[in-house]
Amino acid sequence: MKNWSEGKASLAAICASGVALAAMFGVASVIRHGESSISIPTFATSAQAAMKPAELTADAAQGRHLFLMNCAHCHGDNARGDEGPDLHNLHRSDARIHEVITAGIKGEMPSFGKKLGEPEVRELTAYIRTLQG
Amino acid sequence: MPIALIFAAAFFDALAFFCRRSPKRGEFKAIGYWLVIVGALGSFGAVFSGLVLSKGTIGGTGAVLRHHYFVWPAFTLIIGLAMWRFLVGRDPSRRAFTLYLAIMLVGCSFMGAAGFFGGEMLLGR
Repeated sequence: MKNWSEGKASLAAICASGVALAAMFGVASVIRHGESSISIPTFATSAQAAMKPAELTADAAQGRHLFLMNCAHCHGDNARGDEGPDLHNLHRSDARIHEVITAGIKGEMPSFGKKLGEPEVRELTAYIRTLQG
Repeated sequence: MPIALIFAAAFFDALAFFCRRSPKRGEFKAIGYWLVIVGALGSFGAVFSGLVLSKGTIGGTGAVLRHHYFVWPAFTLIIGLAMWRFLVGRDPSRRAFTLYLAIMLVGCSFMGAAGFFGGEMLLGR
C-alpha cells in the first residue's frame, strides 16, 4: 500500500496520534465519571476498616468520596497507607491537616489547594478525623 | 505485550536498515511493518486496561505520575509511527526510514521508562 506520499502520511500520522490521545483521555473521563457514581458502594465492601457511609456525618461522607477520588491512590482505599502513610489516629490539628492537604509536602505529597476548594478540604479533613482505631 | 511487539518491530526495522545487502532485508522490513501495527493496536488495550486499573487517572501522583509522564508520549509516538508506516507501506525512502527509526528509538525509550515505572508501581512498594 504505497498510495500516500511520505509528507501526507506524516500529517495523517500526527492527526491520528492526536485523535488516539484525545480518545483515550475521553475514555479516562468516562471511567472517572463512572467511578464517581459507583465508587462509594464499591469501596465500602473492600475497605472494612473504614467507617460505612451511613455512620458518617454529611461532611465526612462527602469527604470520604473526595478521599477515594483524590487520596486513595497513595494512602490506600481504607486509608491504612500504601505509598503514602496510614492516616488513622493522626495526632495533628485540623488546621495542620488542612494545611498539608492544600500546600502538600515538598517531595512527598502533591498540593491539592488548586484542585480542591475550601469546603472540600474541610469535608476531607472531617473524614480524616473519623479514621480511628 | 505492546512493549515487546514495539521493541521487536524496532529491532527488525533496524536490522533491515543496517543489513542493506542481506537477502532477508525485505522480510525484516515486513516483520517490522506488521509488528509495529499490531503493537500499536495492542497499545490501545494496554492503555485502556491501565486506565481502568487507575480509575481513569491521567496524571496521578508518585509512581503513577512518573509512569504517566512516559506512557502518554510513548502511546502518541507509537500510534503516529504505526499510522505513518501503514500509510507509506513497507518500503519508505531511505531518508524517511532513517527518521522513522530515530523517532522509533525515542518511542522505545519512553515505552521502556513507562514499563519500568509501571513495574515499580506494582512491585516496588
